[in-house]
Amino acid sequence: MKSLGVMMLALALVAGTATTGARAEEGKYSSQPQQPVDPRPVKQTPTPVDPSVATGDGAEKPEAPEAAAPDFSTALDFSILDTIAIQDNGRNKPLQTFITEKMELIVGRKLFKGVPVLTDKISKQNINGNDLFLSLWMKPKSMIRVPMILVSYGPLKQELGLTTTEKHFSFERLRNLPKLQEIGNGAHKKRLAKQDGELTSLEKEAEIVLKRMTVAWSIINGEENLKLIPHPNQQHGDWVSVSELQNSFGELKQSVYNQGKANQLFEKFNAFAIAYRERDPAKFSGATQELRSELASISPSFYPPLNELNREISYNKTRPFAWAWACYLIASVLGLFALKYANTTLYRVMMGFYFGGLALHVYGFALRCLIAGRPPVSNMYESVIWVGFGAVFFGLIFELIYRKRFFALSGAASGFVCLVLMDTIPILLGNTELPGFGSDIAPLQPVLRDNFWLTVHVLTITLSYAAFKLGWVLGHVTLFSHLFRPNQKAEHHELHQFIYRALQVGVLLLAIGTILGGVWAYYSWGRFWGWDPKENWALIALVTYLIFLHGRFAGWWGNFGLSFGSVFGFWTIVMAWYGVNFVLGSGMHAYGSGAGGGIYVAAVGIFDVLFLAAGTIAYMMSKKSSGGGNDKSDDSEDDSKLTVSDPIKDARANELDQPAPSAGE
Amino acid sequence: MFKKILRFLGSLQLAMILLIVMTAMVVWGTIVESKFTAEVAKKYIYANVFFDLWLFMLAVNLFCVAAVRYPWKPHQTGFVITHAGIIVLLVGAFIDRHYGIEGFIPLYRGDAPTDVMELHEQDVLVSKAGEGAPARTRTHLKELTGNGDMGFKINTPDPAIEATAVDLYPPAVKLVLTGAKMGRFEQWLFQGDNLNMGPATMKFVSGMPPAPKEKSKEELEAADKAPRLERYFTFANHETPISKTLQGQPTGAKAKLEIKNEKPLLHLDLFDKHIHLDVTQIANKKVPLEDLPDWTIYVFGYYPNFVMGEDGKPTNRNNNPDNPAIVFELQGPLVAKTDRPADSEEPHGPPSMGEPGANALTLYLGPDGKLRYLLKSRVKGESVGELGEGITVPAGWAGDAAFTIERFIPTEFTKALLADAAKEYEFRAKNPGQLYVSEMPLPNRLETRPMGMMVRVKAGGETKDVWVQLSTSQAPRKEFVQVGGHALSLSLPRRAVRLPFKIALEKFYAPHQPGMKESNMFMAFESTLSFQDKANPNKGQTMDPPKQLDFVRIKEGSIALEQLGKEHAMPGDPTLFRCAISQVEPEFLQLDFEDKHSAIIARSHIVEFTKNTHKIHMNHPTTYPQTPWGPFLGTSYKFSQADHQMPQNPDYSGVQVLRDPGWFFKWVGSLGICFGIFTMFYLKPYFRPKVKKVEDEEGKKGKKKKAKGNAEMSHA
Repeated sequence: MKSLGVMMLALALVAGTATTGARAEEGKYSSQPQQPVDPRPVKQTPTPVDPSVATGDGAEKPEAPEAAAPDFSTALDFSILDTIAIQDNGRNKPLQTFITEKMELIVGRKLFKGVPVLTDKISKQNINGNDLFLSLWMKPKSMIRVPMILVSYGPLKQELGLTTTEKHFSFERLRNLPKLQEIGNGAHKKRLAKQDGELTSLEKEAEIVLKRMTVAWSIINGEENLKLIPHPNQQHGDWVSVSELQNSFGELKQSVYNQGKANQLFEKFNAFAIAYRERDPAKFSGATQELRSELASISPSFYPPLNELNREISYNKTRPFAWAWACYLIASVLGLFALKYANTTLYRVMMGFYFGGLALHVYGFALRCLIAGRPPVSNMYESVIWVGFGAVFFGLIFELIYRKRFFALSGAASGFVCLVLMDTIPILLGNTELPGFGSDIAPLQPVLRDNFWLTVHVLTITLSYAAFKLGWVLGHVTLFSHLFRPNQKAEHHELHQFIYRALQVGVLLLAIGTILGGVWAYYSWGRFWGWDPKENWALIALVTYLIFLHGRFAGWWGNFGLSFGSVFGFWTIVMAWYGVNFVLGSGMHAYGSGAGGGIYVAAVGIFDVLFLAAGTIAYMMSKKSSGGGNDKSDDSEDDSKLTVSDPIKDARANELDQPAPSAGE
Repeated sequence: MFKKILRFLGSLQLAMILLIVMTAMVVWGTIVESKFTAEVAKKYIYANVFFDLWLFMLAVNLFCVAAVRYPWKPHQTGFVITHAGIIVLLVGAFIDRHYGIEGFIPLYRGDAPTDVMELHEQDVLVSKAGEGAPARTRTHLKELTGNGDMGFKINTPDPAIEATAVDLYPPAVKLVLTGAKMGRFEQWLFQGDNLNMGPATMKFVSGMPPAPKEKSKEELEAADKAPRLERYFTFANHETPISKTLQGQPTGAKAKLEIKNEKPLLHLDLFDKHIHLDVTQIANKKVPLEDLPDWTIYVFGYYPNFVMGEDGKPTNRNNNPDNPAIVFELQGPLVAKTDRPADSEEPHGPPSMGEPGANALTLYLGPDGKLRYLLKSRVKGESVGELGEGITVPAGWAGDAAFTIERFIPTEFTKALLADAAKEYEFRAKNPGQLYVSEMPLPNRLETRPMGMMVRVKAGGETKDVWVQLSTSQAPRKEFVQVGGHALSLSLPRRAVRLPFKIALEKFYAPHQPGMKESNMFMAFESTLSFQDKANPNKGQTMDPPKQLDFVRIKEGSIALEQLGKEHAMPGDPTLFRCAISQVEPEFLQLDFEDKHSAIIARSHIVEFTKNTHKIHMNHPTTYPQTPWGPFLGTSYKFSQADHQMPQNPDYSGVQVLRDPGWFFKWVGSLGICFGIFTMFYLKPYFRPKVKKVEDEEGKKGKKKKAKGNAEMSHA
């Protein structure tokens, strides 16, 4: 519903139906609502920018839809601005987070960059996200012709007649494209008719561009979104924007704010705006500091403490998960070499990167926990990050036990895949707001709040996913080994045992996690088991792995079957993890729902099917050539060389002879 | 022979077949659920007798697998525990299936305590007028998928009468309102609908419209007259109200709003009479004024935090009493009508609130299958007439508004409505530019249609279709029909059972997410419930007066009395307080008062207390009766927060009720499974006898051959 509203806004904006012009830039805030100085009436309809503003502060031609940005070369210090708090999306956060989210949405995200940066293609200068945001807000006339809105989808650019080699286009230019509005209209109608499934890529991309324009417009004109002023006496009270504060002193209105305090604030705010327009570094820093102190003093007991704000800013700026995946990538590559060359130094360097990645991963995760005030496993983004951590963690434990490099390699590869996907999907797809994949920290729904058992249940279940994921990567390594190193029986055997180890952890955790889910459900809101799709798929996954384990145990398909099962079984996990929410989209766990990514998941699935088939054929051929009729032959041949005991075989040796009292006793 | 059967039943092959087929059934179930509903999947798969049989076979298999290995060796501990755990868990599931109970209680604040719990099933009741008990047919509307399931027979009290369920969708009409002032407005109406939308209220019922009333002499005379009418806008934080005289001479009444204990009280001085009114008691109804015959008051609403909305109508910013205000009208005796139009606004007068229920359209589906209407217009009065597809009738509202029946579906409803919905999909997709002014497109509207069942009744050579709407067992909604000389009544109440205790909603609290009022995002939903033991209504109470809510008696002279405040004490007893005890600790109690005031009082200040209330919110259910063993055995009823109607109805809460006597087996079994798997995977080496490696190898090779023969024995 919210997205529809946004769409409508975007459409109204692009259609250019309203009458009022952009607010005057020179507008000052005052607490005298009767005076007609307020340039931003609260009930103003979003409107296109009046073309006459083009004569504002640039020397560009009035009809040119794109123009260079004003000079941003004087560097301003935004570190204090970052620490001003804002209430947005049900949470109080630093302005830095808000600006980063909005600007990344408009200009797109860049790898490893904690702060969005726009390179102006006309003036060739780099504009920092804070500058971009403040200039949109404080001097929009100069900004609406600056190419800054990302249009990443080639076919859409072609359709709209835009230069396909360029990435950013000005607000003014996009606003004057009736075709864009037309496509957006079509998409909107489909959504109204509940035909979301029939939206074309073109329509979806057009919606994203319109969303970007709406967000840009809301900063240019809709200052109501900037809820910077805290509620004076309630911790969970609603914050207001500067113009809302101004309007709260009208006739018939009882402002909860102190009029004198508000007047001081307006003064500070005007000083801040002037300092920014003048681009005087010293004045700006001073004005920002004063504004911040004034805001904080409105509600000294409930204003978010500086250390909390700084924690979140440091989380945003350092991008620990991006650096972690880079470490994992290096560790994985070194790991491949380490398999080939038994070099201790190489191994140590690899493990160094492994630990480094894990440290960054844990650091990021811990910060996220502290910021959100809860364990971050509430959406796909957070659960993938956690599963990545689990896989790396289990890989490390097993590596420390066995020291065979395979676990380190698989752990690093799992961590890399998880983190790189979550970090780059917004960049690759050009959209930072994919449902379910959003990295922004959002408040939880009531049903997910403050519950110990729920947290334990979710963490346990997702940890089992991590173990199975490790098994899945090991399965690939094994199949790869079967395909390209068919004679390395000892290696195969070792790998099979490792897979078994990983699956053991997974099966135990999945069983415990599923049962904990039942316990949570029973104590919190309902039945122990309700045949809900998420429960069902957890059960299906568990039974699938049990089938492979039991079959292996009975000697039906040997160790190779287990490797096969570790890859095949993981797809039941994918179904439980991703499919239930993103494909089936029904049931009680639907609050985790999202959309998208289906094509990519399917592509990996098809690859796995082919890979499994090729691996199986290679295995069969090698078995034939070695003349072994029994698929267990590879296990027994190299027993003498083994350094790893075979837990399955040991167990079987002890238990096979126990079928019944009659079996020889 | 016995051993052979036992070995077959305990074989791994059988286990595999059971597991693979079960997995396939569950996969199929999740697909069915995403295509239809969870209830359909449950009916055809999970609650199916074959599925039960399958689980039973699995239990047998698990038992036999363990049985054939008896006596067990130490290293088989994990294997035995795991398998036993699964069997115990399945036993628990079986007990729950047959002896467990699950239902739902809709609770409204202020209603008397209830012991009626609604189940998720319904009964179709058919009775002959004035003759005996109704014939009962059990059904579950959500389990029916539509046409494919329909046609089932319904029991009737007389073999001469036949009844079948023929459809799940009601008769429907697509109404289009057009007018210069309002543009085009589309609305689908279903039989049973009662919608209040913009210009008028719209209803669709069965039967014939009543004849329009002839106006009496008095009414004709009264038509030239109108009652004296004044509208007031009163604030708690401003002395002077804003008022406007709409009809007759101004009365000069003085009004003041006062907030006392968070309750809005209106003080009115009219013709030298001082009147005090509790606004919450009189809102939205015409209330006669004491000592002033001919005068009534109508309070349109109470706004704890008033702001003037964008449409010029008063709205509430939130429920914090920061700027309390009310709007009310005083109506007096008839006076000669003045020319002033009722809706004209004075520059600073209070806004027009509109008169509720003045314009109304009721559609009637007659026993002859024809559609008729009864139209009420503030301007034109009442009129009736016959309708059909394409017929347009001037409405007499909003200037020149007229309504047209664009579509009328009198039969084969599911088929026709789904076809129409598909057409609408297609049309909207193909004509994206077309502007729709519609409350809701048909596909969405179908989801909110009135629930019920179309029943075809045959008797004495006559056939009639009756739409029977879903209702509650407390107030079954009966449809009457005459077929072949029989007078029948049909109803479709939810099945309900009586609980051994009564339950009432004392408080409902739903704070919204900071800054998210507009998007209706709530932080929590919290109900305070009170219970009353039917067998022993005073059980657990040490004090006399209380029936609902909790009571606390504070020591005389204690400082806690000041802390709680005199205004919270019971009238006439300054040491007795009525509140909800939200927390009971050995050292202190937390008390919540109805005005949201809350306090923590040390036990040393408390003489005695009674606790009847239980607070529940998401993830925090309560049990009743509260016994120490209840949580472990599952013998108590469990109440969880399940439903709300925020922001429309802040006095409603839906509570889910569950009792699962199989719970003990479930958690014991679960514990067994987890512990067993852990033992198998990680503790086995400690249970294993130490055998020399060489022997082990030999033993294994020997067994390998055996394993080929009876590999089924080896699974553990």
